[in-house]
Amino acid sequence: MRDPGTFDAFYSGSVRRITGQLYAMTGSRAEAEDCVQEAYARAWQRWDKVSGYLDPEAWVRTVAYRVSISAWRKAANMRAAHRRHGVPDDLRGMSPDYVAIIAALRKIPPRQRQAIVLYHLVGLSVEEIARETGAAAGTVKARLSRGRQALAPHLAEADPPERTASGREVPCDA
Amino acid sequence: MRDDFTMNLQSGSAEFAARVTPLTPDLIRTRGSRRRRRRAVMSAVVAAVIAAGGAGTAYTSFDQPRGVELPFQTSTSPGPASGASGSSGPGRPEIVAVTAGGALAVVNPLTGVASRILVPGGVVGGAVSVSPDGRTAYFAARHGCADEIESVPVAGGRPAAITPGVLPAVSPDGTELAFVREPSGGGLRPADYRNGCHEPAVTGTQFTVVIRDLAGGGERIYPAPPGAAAVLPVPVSRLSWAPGGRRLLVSAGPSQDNEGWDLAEIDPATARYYLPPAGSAGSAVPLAGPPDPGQNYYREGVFLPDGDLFVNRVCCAGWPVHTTSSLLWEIDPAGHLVRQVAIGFTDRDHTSLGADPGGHWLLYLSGQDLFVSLDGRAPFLLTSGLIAAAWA
Repeated sequence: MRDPGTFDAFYSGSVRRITGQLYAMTGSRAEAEDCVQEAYARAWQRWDKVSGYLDPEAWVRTVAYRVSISAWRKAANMRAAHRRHGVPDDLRGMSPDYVAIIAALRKIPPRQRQAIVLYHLVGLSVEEIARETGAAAGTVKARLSRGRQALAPHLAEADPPERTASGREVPCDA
Repeated sequence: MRDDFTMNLQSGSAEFAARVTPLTPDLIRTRGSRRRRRRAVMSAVVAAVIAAGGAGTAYTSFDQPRGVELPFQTSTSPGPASGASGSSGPGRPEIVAVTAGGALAVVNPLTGVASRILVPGGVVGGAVSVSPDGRTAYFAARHGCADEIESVPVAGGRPAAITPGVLPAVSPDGTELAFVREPSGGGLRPADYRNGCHEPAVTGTQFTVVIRDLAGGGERIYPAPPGAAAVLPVPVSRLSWAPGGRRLLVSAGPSQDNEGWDLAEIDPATARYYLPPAGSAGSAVPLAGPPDPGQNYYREGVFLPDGDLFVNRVCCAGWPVHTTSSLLWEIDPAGHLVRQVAIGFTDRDHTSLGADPGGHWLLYLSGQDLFVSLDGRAPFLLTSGLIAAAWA
C-alpha cells in the first residue's frame, strides 16, 4: 500500500538536492528538473517497493540520470522545456567558481562527468558508484582518473589572471 | 585539479538547489499514478500478445530507459519464472552471482531467485569465477581498505582467504587462478579518502595481472606494458582463459581519452606484460566487418568452450564521446561475426559475459540486469540487482 505521507516527506526533503546533482551531471536546469520530476513520478508509481529500499534517493537519482541520457527524451524534453521556460538562464548570479566548474563538466565525456559528480558532489565511494552505475570498480576508477585529467585544463582556463597593485594583469604562473 | 574543487562544487550546488522551485508533491503523485494506469494497460496488452504466441523474448533491442532494477530477491523455495522463457534447456547449470548489496549467492537458473547465500556481505563486483568441477566459487571481498580473493564451496561453507586482488578467473583445469592487483581506492586525492583508506597518486605501474598456482602459492606477475600504459592507469575489467588454458584474454581500458577499450590475448608462458606491446607474446583481438571497424572497440570479451569469443562490441560518436551502439556478439578469433546474441543498451555497461562449460548457455549483465540465452535464442531477463555473475 502506497503511503502519500511518506512519499511527500521523502520528496520534499530530497528533490532540491537531487536536482542540484542532476544539474551538475546534465548541465541543463530544465532537463535536470524535468528528469527529476519524471523519476519521482516513477518512484511514486512503485512507492510500495521503493520506500523499502535502503537508499530511495539513490534510486531516484539513477532513474533521473537514465532518463536524461535517452536521446529521444532529450529532444522531446528540450522542446517542452523551451515552451515552458524559453531559453534557460541557469547560472545568473551564481558563484564564479561554480559557474566555471559546471562549464568544465559540460566539456568532458558524460560517464566521466557522472563519476566525478557522484564522487565529489554526492560523496559516494568508488564501490558505491560502481553499484549505482552498474560499472566495475576498475572502470569507475578509470573514469574518475580520466575525468579529473580532462577537467584540469578547462578549470585552468577559467582561472582569472591575478591583478597587481598597479592594476597590471599577470598570469597565475608568472 | 584545484584542491577546492569539491568544496566549490558542493557549495555551488547547494546554492543552486536552494533556488529550485519544485512542483508540489501532489502533482508528482498525480503524474506517477497516471503512469501506473498506463503501465497496467500496456501490461495487459503484452500479456495478451504473449498468450497468443507472438513474443518469445523479454529483451528489447531499442534504446529506451527501462526504469531501475527490481530489488534482488532471496527465497528458499522456487518462485515463478521472471523471464519470458520457462524452458529448462539442456542441463541448465546454476548461477553464482554477486548482488548489488554485496552478497555472494547461488541463483536458481529457472526462477532468478537466490537459493543459497554463500557470503552475506562485503563481496565486491567485477567478476566471480567457478572451478571447472562446479564445486568452488572464487570472488573478491573488501576488508578494510583492501580487496582480497577468497574461495567458498558452492554447496555452502566457510570462505577461505587466498591473496590480495580482484577479478578472479580460475583456469580450465582448476589449478591456477588469474586475477588483478590494483590500487584499492583508485589513487584519488588523499583528502578525499574516507574510512582512513589512503592511496598515493595512482600510476599504471600499480596495476598488474597475476597468475597464482592454487596448490603451491607461486605467482607470475604481469605488469602494464611500458610506455603510456605504465604512466596512465589501464585497469583490467575481465580475465578469461582459453579452453586449453594456454592463453589468457585480457579486457582492459580505457587506454585513450576516447574511452576505447583493449581486448588482447597473451600467452602466460612467454608474455611479460598484461597487454602486448609491439613484438611481444600476444596480440589484440582484431575488429572485422561492419559497423565501422576503425571506430569500434571491444568493451569486454571471454572465450567460449569452442575457442570462439563472446564479446561486447561498442562504438561511439561525437565529442564528448557517447556510445551509439553496444552489440553482444559471438566472433571467431579473427574478429568475424559468428552470431549476434543481442543488441545492448547504449546507456549501460555490459559485463560478466560468460558461457557454461557445455557451450549452450550464455549470460551477461546489462547494467545490473542478468540476461541468459540458450543455443542462440534471444536472451531474456532472468533477474536484476547483480554486479557480477557466472555459470556454476
